[in-house]
Amino acid sequence: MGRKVLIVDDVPVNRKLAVAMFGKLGWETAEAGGGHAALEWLATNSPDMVLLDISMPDLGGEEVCSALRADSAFAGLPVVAYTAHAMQVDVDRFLANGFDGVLIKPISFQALKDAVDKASHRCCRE
Amino acid sequence: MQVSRAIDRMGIRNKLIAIFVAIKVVPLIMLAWYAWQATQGLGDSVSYRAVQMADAMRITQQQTGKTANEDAVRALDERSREAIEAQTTDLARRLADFLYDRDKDLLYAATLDPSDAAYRRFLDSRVRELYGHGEYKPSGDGKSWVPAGAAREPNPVGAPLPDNAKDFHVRLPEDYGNRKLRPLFVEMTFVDTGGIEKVKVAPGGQRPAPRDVSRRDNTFAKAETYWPELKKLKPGELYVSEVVGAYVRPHWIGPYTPARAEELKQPFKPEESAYAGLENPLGKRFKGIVRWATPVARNGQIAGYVTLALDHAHIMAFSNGVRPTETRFAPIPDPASGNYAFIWDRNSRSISHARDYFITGYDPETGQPAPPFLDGDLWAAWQASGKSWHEFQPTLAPFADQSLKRKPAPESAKSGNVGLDCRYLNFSPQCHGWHSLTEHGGSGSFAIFFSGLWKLTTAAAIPYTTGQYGTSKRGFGYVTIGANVDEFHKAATESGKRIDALIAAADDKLKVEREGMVDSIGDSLRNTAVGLSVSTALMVVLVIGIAIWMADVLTRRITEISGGIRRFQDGDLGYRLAVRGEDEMADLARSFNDMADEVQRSFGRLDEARSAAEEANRMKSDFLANMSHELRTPLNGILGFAELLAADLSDPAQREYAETIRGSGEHLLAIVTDVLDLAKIEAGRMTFDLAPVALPGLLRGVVAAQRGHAMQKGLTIEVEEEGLPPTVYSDEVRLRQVLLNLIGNAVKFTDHGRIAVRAFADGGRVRIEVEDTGIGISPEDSAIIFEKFRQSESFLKRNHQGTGLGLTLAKHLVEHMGGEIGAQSEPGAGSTFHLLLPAAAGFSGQAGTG
Repeated sequence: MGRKVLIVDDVPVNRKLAVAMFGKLGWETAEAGGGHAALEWLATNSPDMVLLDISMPDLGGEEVCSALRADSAFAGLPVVAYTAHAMQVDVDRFLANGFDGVLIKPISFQALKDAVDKASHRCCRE
Repeated sequence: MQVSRAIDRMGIRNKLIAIFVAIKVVPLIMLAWYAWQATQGLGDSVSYRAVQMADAMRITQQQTGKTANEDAVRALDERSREAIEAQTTDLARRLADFLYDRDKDLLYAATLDPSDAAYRRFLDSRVRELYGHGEYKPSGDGKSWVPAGAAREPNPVGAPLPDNAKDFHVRLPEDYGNRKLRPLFVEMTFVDTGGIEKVKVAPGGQRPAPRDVSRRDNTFAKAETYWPELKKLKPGELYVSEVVGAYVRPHWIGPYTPARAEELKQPFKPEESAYAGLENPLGKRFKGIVRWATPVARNGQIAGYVTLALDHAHIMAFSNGVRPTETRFAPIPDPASGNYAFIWDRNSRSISHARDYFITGYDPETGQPAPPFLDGDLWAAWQASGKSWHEFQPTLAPFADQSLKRKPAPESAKSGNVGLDCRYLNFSPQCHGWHSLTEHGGSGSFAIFFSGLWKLTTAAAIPYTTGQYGTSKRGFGYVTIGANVDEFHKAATESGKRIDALIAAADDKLKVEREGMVDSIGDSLRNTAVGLSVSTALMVVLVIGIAIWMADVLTRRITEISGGIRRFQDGDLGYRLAVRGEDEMADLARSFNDMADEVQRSFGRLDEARSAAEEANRMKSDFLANMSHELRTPLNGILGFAELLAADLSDPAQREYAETIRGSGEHLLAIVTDVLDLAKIEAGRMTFDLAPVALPGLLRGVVAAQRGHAMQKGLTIEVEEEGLPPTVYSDEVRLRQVLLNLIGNAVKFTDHGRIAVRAFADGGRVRIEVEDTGIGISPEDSAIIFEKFRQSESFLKRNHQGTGLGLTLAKHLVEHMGGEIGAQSEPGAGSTFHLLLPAAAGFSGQAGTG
């Protein structure tokens, strides 16, 4: 039974890369082009992971993450930041605010694989 | 030095206090000290003068007293001398008158018929009162004589009225003794021309046997020699004899008392020794006569001679009772007192003396003059002559060398013949004096120190010139009175004593007052000292108080200003000093306030500038962050898809293209990362976590990371283990980044050979070296390789991949970690890059150079 990841990014190329890489890992993928779209989708779907861009025009990844963490329905859902914010301070903040992992753009396949493993492990150890 | 340092350390307040104290307290104390000195000097001088004045006054008083006393003594002495001389002269006059009366008696007697009856009537009518003393008996202790009867009780009389009280002086009636009438003559005779006494009558009806007076043996005391003289007389002419009497001997000279007798081991028989007044009131009296004679004429023919023998006691009576003292008169002479009168005949023989044994007399056995009292020399000469006195006497010169230095011959005293014949009394020089005083018949006096007393002694000739007495100016002889000089001026002496007492009392009082004055000056000085001290102390306290107050007032404003400055300094830029008054302090406060305004304005401008800078910096950071973000976003697609493509392509050529795309993208990413790092450093936003880093592990890790790459190029790369320091003080992440850069460069620029990494202690620091055998760097390039975007020509020529920022970044990082970076190179032979980093915390601080 394949796992499913929601890939949220306002840049289609980045969604497409993530879809390709997750595809290579054998994951089902869903895409959302913004924060609101992601939340709407999540309201009716239950993915195994969310890859969440931070800087988005309508609703930022951090707000989305906060919303998810505030909703018990999403407890245990791994959320991995998918961002071009490479500053260490940003990375630290993301991890502190509910993200289970951070993938800094540009990503490599290996980096994605490691991040997925780590986030899954961290999130769903129970 | 220390003082000036101490002064430097003093606060202004203390300095002000010190100045006030110095300029006020010191003069105050000096002034007080000066005043005290002056007061003390004044006190001393007043004391000294007062003492001197008091002493001078005392001395003057004493001298005045002494002078007054001496003057009084002299005046009294003069007066006494006058009085006694007058008394002496008066006595001589009265005696002369008495003798002249006897001339008249005799002339009358010559008119009488020489018969018993007529002569008896005549004698019985010739009497005169004599005053004798009463009975005396030895005193209880046997040392003196006292009256046997009751002593006269004095009956003091006081002044009846106050008006009489001044100098009220009562004199009791004179004690003349027992008055007795005594016949003037002891016998009256009529001698015929043959010298036979035809009529001879004695008072009281006696009829002595008539005798032939031409024979001396038949005369009074066998001593009379008047018969030859009578025969020379013409009718109307008078003969007056000398005093004739038997000498009365004393048992000894001086008081005749039981005590004295016992002392001399002699029997006490006062009746057998000569009478001597109070010295022997019971003694044997001298019995003498003076014979008057004149022819009795009948019808112009001398029928015979009438003679009258005057009882010598009547002559004695003139002198015996005389006292040249206040007593004036006493019924008994007091020979020991020295105040008595003597009578000497014209030959200076004693004929009346308080001591009867001093009266010259005749030896009743021989009728010759008894030897007189002699001094040692004369006594010896007489004894040596072998002659009897009456034979020896005519050979002597009278008044020979008389002197008080001569002493009576003890043998003379012992012989019992001590009658006074002034001519030969050579131990009594007054004899010569009296003789000279009366030489012309007058009177006079002198003082002499005799028998241990100063005596005034007077002499007055007795102006009686009948018969033989008319041949000498001395007349019958002379009366002398001796008186103790001290007695005369007793009053003066007593007043002198009173004056002395008064002076002593005054002196005592003066002394007390003088001491009191000195004490009071001392008290006053003490009070002044206390007052001065207290007022000085008060002034000092006051001045110090004022000094502190003034210093407070002055320094309070300084303190306020300095407090305000501190407050301003601590950030209260709105604080302003209160400006009071128009003085320098106000100017200072105003200047400060102006400065504060300016500073505040400057701060305001600075704040704005800083805000602007911060804003710019923030914008730059935001820009960099955005840049990074915006560059990474497309790179994500490029790199990601290139990777996927490379993995999916089976054609090696195609796959290489994909890899190339990926490599280029990564290069671009590296540039972006380096630029961002550099920008962060320059913006001061990169943080360093400095701590001791385990160096060997770090070096091995970095070398291991590059080994694969190096081996691909056939290079050896090693860490030289020897001498590796255990730790270096650094940020591990940044140090790793720098080392990766250096080692990466070494691998990159070396084609064959080896790369060595080593580290060792260099002074207090750690030196890390990366040595390669690569192309090296030319000297001109060495200078620029650490600059931004500069690579050496050779780098460029070789078209090596590199951002051109690695060394620049490394330099910045190393410097931010308190270290240095440098390179030595030989083109073609290789390069050595080195780092110098602190070995331990705090070695060179965290101060960067960039």
